[in-house]
Amino acid sequence: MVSSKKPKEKKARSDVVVNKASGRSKRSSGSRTKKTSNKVNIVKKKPEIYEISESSSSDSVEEAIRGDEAKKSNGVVSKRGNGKSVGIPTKTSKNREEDDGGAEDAKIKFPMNRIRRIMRSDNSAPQIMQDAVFLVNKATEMFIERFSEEAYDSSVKDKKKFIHYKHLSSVVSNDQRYEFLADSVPEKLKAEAALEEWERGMTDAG
Amino acid sequence: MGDSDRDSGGGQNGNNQNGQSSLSPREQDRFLPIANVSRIMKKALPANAKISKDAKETMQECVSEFISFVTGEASDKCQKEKRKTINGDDLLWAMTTLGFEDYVEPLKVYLQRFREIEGERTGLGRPQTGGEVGEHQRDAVGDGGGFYGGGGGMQYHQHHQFLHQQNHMYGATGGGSDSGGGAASGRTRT
Repeated sequence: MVSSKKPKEKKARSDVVVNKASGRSKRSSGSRTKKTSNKVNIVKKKPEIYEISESSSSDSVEEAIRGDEAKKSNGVVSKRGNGKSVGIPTKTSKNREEDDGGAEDAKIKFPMNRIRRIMRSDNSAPQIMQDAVFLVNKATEMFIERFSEEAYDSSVKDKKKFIHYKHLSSVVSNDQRYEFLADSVPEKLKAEAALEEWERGMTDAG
Repeated sequence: MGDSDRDSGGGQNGNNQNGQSSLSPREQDRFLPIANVSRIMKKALPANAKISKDAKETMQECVSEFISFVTGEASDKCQKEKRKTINGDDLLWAMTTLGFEDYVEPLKVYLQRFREIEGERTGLGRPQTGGEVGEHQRDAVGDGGGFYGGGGGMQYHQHHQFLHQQNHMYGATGGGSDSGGGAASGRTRT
């Protein structure tokens, strides 16, 4: 246990560096170009993929979010892994893709890079470990679920079919734990006033 | 970047397009994809519940506030303790401090599972310290090659080398890792 912890930390730091680089590349190039060059790299440097795979296990967490890329690379790798072709290889690779995607999707609901960007948007601490980003991903899911449940209760009391802004703001006003949202989601005095504010907002936007 | 947002949004292209058209690219980065947020909201509610678009967009903003709120608290703690890295435990502490203590126990379970997965993949490679495998054999073995070739030092060396290559490899490597884990466990059973 003790000996295994240190390598993890090192890898986590490496991941951070990689993520920074990948963030920049996204801005500079379009996604189509990215996909094309991805294929080329797979073809050229297959041996390196196998050698590095062990140390990059945490990458698979993010990989699952990029559905297309994950499916393509999984297909390539699993075909090689088969070696002996028993039955139809296509079916085998498809099943593996689905299994991988399903397993990962059950854990990750939001793009990890987006969460990391929000986490760093107004903080001076530059380093965020992978387990912290993962944890915020799950916490965000819980936050949305519970906030939505309370907003739904608010809409039921209001006898409305839709959950509207005012039901969210009502939760914010009534529950102390959501006090930090008071500036973002201020309470409206009346429904009519809220609608007027909303219309003004739409007018400004237009 | 637009395409990747659509991918992450799954099958709800309509919602995604609406979200993209109403937000500028920079502004869009401040929020999580509205399709993902919307799906989680619906999952938590009865089937007959309906959510207005303004409620979905408000939830997007609330989520970003929540993330910044918790991260800011964890960051302050790190600064006081003169550490430069925020880890999972810092965030658990921050949630307790900020009134989300009921989130902590479920999140500990997820965090433990996350670390176990990483530990398994790391551990599988370490005991296998046999001789180096030739390139031909490595190809034949496929994604399992990383587990059976070389010692720990080589792993770090190759990982370091990898960092200087193009970013596209990053995703491909992740995919390889998934299959590698499966292949390794298969061999172990045999």
